[in-house]
Amino acid sequence: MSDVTYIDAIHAALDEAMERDPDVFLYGQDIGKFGGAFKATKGLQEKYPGRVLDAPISEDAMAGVAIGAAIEGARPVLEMQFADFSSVAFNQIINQAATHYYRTGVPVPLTMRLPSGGTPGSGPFHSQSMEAIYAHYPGLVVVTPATVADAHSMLLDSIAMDDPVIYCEHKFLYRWLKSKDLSGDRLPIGQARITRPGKHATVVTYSAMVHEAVRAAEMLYKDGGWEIEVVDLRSVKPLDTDTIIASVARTGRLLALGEAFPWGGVTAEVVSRVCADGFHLLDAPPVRLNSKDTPIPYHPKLWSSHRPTPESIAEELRKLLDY
Amino acid sequence: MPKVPIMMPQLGESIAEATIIRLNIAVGDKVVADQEVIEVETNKATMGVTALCAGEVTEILAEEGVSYAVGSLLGVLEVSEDELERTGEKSMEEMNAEETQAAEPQTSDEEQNLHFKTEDGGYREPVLVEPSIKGLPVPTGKQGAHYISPRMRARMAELGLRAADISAVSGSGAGGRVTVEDLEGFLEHIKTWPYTKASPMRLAVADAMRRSWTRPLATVARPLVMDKILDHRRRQALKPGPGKPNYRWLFDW
Repeated sequence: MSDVTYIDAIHAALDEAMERDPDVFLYGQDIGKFGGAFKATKGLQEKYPGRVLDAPISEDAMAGVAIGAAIEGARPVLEMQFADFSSVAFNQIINQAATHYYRTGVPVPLTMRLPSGGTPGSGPFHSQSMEAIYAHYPGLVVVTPATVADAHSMLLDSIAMDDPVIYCEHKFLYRWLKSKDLSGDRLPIGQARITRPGKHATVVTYSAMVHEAVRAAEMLYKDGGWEIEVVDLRSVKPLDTDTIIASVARTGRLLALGEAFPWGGVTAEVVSRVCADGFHLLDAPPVRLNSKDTPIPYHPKLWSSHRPTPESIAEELRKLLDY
Repeated sequence: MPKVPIMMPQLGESIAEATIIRLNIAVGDKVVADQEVIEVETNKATMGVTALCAGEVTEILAEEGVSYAVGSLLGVLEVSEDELERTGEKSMEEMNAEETQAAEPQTSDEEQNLHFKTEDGGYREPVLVEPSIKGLPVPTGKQGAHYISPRMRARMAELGLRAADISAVSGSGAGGRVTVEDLEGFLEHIKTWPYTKASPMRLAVADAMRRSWTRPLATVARPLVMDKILDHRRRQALKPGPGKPNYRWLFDW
């Protein structure tokens, strides 16, 4: 079998979900004949006539329509062209979708796909990671798959879930990340995975940064035999505190790594939980590494110094190991 | 008969006032509880003001087309005591009495919530809390700060060790800090040491040493004037012969 990419996995999951459940429909800008900005829905309009709908250029209106359909029993999969523009639909997501079940007892089985994260040369409006913002609100589930198999199984699980799910897919992984097939361990949403076992320090991360962390761990292993444990959160909400604490119990040292901006966010939440629940497990002060606290630069060189890289992760880990 | 007000209700969280569109009542009308007596309009919607109790309209203060703030008195109903009791509403007399009570000035002229009170018009320093030092006196290592991480502390508590017990472990952490790995390594290492049974004397000495770390250390100093002694020593002839310690240079400056 030929290689399956991360975007292929998303396409396959959408296809499977539509095949399985006639209530599933896709809604987004240019997702019909054009097949979506990243071709995640290519060919699906022809295969499922009337169920792959092009939306007007208003994220607010799109989200409103999708939430309404979900309340009425459909299972919409909403594609935002870029995660950055989901902010236009913010009110609909956090005030309507997130609170609806709490207010009325009627669930909103909506899945919102957010093409997230940076790629070289995409600049401030097409590179942002929004997971921390949505994770802040009760009522939303926020997933951040890092592997081809997770991209596939977690999208199916997201669509099958009755809660509104924010599915953050990483644009850098779309065509870069390949796998032989879609099979995997099919862990449920809410459970983290130990991507690489180790004993000297723990890196807790998610999405594309899992791959950068593994590269940094490889560098340190070659350098000094350091064994770094890499924990892939998979979903940032719910956050699998148990797996994180168990890993820190093994290693005593924690680096929380993320591609989002450094103020607050997922890495801060991880450190805060470890300090609160596992303070006695820490042999060194926990460390966070995020992108820089500035808008995301266009120039590929500036961009690669803005986000964490294997080199900068390895440097932070060395400091942590030296403590 | 008690009087009950018809007031502009709180129509929504962000509504501060509403405009009267229509008055559905006239003075002398009989109304029932929850009857819509006045129609009002806000920026968001048109709504009705209802009578709180059944009774007779004795006064209408509101005018059509005029805006009134939330809580404004729009009219007055005269109701029976029984009706008042049934609905649990308050009469205007009761409301007025409560208001006068609440509005009474405070008897004390002392300002509330003043963190640092002033005396005689001057500023008084807040009382500082004396820091207290707890824990065992730990011998100072040759290098670095003896920082014990939360994990080290937990591990030491598990093993029943004290800070003094790890002073023999050489640290590989920042500033010579003993890390958990150092401790575990040391514990593994001492397993290989040959064992000989300690004599009772050794045990007693070891115990005394261990306990000595739990004793507070104190230094007592007392100044003495040494001038006369030094003068006396200067007057003495030095003892002949090389290699003898000579302290004279200390005092001769």
